[in-house]
Amino acid sequence: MKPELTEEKVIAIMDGYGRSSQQLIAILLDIQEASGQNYIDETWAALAAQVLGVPLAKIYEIITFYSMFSTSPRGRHIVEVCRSAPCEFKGAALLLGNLEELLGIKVGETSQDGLFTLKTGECCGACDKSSIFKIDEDEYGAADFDQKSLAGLFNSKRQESEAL
Amino acid sequence: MAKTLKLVSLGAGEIDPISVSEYRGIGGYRALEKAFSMRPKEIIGEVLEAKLLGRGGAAYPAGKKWAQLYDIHETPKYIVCNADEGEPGTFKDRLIMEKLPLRLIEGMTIAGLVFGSEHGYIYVRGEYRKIQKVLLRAIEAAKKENLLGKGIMGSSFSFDIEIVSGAGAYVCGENSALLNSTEGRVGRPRIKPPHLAEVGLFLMPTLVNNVESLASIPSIVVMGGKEYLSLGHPDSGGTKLVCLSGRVTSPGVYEVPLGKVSLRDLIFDEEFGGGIQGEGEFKFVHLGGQSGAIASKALLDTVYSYSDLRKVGLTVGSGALVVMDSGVSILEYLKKVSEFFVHESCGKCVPCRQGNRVLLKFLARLSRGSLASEGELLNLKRLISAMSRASFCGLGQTSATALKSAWKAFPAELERPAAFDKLQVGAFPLP
Amino acid sequence: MPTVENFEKDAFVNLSIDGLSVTVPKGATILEAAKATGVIIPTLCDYSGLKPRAVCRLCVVEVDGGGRLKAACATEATQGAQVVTNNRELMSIRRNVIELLLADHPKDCLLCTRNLDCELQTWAFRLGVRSLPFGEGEASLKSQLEDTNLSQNMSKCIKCGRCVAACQDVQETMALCAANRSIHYEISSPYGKTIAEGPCVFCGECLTACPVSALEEKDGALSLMPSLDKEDIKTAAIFSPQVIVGLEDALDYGAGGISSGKMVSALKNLGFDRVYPRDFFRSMAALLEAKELCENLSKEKKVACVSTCSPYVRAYAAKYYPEAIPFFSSSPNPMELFSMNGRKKGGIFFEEAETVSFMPCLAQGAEREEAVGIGSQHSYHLTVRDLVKLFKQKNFNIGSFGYSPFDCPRIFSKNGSMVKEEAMVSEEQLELARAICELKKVGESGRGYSRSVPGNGLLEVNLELSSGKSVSFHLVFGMGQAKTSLEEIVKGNLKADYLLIMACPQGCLEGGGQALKTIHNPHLTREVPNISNMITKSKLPLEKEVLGAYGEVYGQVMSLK
Repeated sequence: MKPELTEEKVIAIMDGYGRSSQQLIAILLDIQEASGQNYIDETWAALAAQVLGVPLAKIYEIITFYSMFSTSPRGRHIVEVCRSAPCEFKGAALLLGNLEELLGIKVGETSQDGLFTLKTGECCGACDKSSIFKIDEDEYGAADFDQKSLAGLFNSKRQESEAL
Repeated sequence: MAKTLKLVSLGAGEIDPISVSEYRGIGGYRALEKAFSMRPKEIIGEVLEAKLLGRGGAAYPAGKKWAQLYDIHETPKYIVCNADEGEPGTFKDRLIMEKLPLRLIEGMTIAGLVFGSEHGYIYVRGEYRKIQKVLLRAIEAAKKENLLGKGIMGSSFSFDIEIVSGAGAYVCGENSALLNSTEGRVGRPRIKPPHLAEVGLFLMPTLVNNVESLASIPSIVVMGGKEYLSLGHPDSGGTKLVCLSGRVTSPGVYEVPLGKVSLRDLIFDEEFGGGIQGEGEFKFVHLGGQSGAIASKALLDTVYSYSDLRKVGLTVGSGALVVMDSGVSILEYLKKVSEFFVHESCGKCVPCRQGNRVLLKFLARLSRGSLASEGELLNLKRLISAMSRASFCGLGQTSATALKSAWKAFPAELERPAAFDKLQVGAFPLP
Repeated sequence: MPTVENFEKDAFVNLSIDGLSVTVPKGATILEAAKATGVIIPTLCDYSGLKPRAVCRLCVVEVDGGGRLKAACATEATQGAQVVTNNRELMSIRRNVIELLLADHPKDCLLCTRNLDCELQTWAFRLGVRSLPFGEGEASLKSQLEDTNLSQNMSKCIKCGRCVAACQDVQETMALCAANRSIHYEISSPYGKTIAEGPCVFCGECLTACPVSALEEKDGALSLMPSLDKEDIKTAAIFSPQVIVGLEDALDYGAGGISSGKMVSALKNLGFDRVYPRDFFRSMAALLEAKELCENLSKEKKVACVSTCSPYVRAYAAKYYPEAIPFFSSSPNPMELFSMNGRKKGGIFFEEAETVSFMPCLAQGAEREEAVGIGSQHSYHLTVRDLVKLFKQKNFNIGSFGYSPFDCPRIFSKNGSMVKEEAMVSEEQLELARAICELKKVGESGRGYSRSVPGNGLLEVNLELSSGKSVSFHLVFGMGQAKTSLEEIVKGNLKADYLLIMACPQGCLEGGGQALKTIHNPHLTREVPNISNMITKSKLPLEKEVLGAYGEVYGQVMSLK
């Protein structure tokens, strides 16, 4: 079950930061997370604009400037493969290929069940365990997985989501 | 012979990160106590004598920065910690924030004391959201022990720290862009002058220092600047957290005294990198971050200090050492670096936005097997020069450094790429 | 400039630019210092009235020898500085910047609306760019062509950000934004909506700020030509004096080179059957508003009367300050009065006519054509730029035209006889109408400062009527100031009985539809108008005729409500 975002929930998020426009980025990250689809719909951006007293144009600039935001719906979980130099030459391409096969999608796409969006990203600061992939906030080193355990990891994520 | 020296990473993994008592147990908060008995100018004097160079990458003398801010008589002043750590191959600030957050907090509090500042901010990159939560808990723990908040240690000094999050933009590691982002805006760099010491956060005088720099302050205060200097190199005292990654056997964070080890030690010594993993041979190391220069094996015996490296055209930078072996094509590596800069450019100035894309296209063409004509190489040289001289900020100015240095070190490979065996090439679609 | 009277030690700095010594007020930039001494440093992202952003990097110079290059537009001129603007490295860098921009820019100058009037073209020429070492690039052909009069042609955009700064910093309308990062950096409106769906008021500040043709308007002249040529369609035109200023600049006639008489001749030669004085309609509008103002003043509780020509300002208020809407005047603006009357048989015109109003206004023409239900009568609103195009295409030599008088609206009463001056208008209403008329004149001709002088776009005038009543007028320039005033209305603390909003920061003179030459070569500082003086001395133009027509028009307007 996907969590539904309501006006009350969004306002509650903003209240949690004291409606401070300085904390706009953290507010938007929380709204995005609470959306269940890892994106910020125009409705919520407009509401944030109204409540925080920041023009919608500025909020849109922020959402499109920072890589972590999206203006269109994505999967429940973001699966990100690091393609920066330290990871690239420790098997990032191979890892990406494996994940594409495992999830049945190409990079940039979202799985049929709407659970996983596969993307690439830049360095997330875990280069000693490269090559790295992330599922949301959790980092994993490719070297710690084989085919079986990788599939297992995603299966347990699937089960977690379905339990909600 | 042990070459590591633990000052800033002392206790990492050994204590509960959010336990004030355990932190005190390894000497924590002795510095803050001592600082209360010193005058601000004295503390600044120690930092100056310690010759602490900015540990984030710019290597600006911290003492000088502190002295400049001290001479500005406007309040309020703000203490901002740059915890953006977006430089690929760099993962040392996270170590401090995850394992020793109280040391960072102590360093910031001392800075607050020196400048009479009541507000500190730690700008943490969005990708470190979990670490932000650790920092929040550490702040709460410190507050409980009267080490943050109102009336610290029973004095009249009050200081609080707020966490501000990034959301995925390497350019926010640039201090003025970071302040814009801290204010809740788009993180593009500001026009300078005015400098941040005069017009910083919310247009007020501001100190911006890297995590490692601030976490080094307690050591300097406790042992004094002179001793801190003696532990390192005459031009830059103390220790540096070095991040080894890439094709080494033991990647990780290592704290080394400046000027006491060489690149060869760092990469091959059992205590550090442990040599190349697998069958390959060392080929090159990329120092300091994506904007650093690339060193071939000819420079392996360079001593790891700011001045020794600078003499041979290399930088300490963030402390990153990305090691590559004979299985890696220098061209593919440079293409990766170029992709990074194209992706991370803020986009507002012409030389960086347009220039980086030209460089990437050029490298992509080379990697597909075509050769560069002389005219083309000349145009590129002109472009690289224009980018380094005319770009708005450091990102654009240094984005071609790796390419320039590699050209010198591996000319044959860059001119005849088709002949080279390409390993680990992924199809990365051009943006 | 330093004079004996205002010379203060430390108020000026002296520096050298390419060996030329120049003295400028402290705080001036190197770019300004260079201009003062005749050295033209190329710029693309610099624009009068905007804070420097230093993003194009064309203006980089060397200050005091080596070291970092500085952007001349954003660097303060300091005492004793030695600035070099033209060594070989700098020349190479400037060419590089243009070459990098051209890598993404279409090369169809010959077909472009800004051919010969494009800043990118100018610098490519002056800097001697002869090749494209970085290829032709992938010019994005995304274009948001809209039905309204303002569209974006993104393939031409050079991302200088002038439009965004004009919209966000000067006008504070926030319709445009600079989105994305890296090579995807682009000017857009939030969530990809069209410009019309957001808070845009079609003031055209973005369009006139654009150095190239990334922001375009539709060609108004095209739709007009058939009507002008057809014998059986009558056409009537009005124009404001600011149109003449724009024509003089665009056609190089020099200030005062085109008189009203010649202008009427030119329009008649173009094919217009009638050319009416706009003053007439402005005075009528003033009378109508004065009636409302009279009613307001007689009320217990002070109620402001808000007037604006632009339907988009009203729409903006309706969206963002809805509590202020009841205060907006319901009287038509001069152009509306003109077109309303043009479509009527009988009445104050000789016959039904298609009406065309020429103004330096983009908003009036935002809906290009209003097809009205009566017959095939259209009313058009064309910009000065449209008129310039028409005159040029007709090969007009305006200097050769003689003088033609305006056509005068005929005044009919209901039974067909000439109406004498009627005492339908109270003395108070007449006094107020004169004041409003003068205020509108000032609004049209600008607040007296050139664009480069930022500052409060608010003029306050207090008038004491012969009845003893005191009336306060506020004249507001620019959407930034308009927002402040609208907020005051909503909060209930507006200190004015009558508020006139000019959407454009410099009034109609440098409006969104004005000739670009007039806007880009801002006229020198003019005297700030002494409105009080003007009001006490004023008389409504064509007062007899206006008063005579007043009753008829007033009845029509009331019946439309």
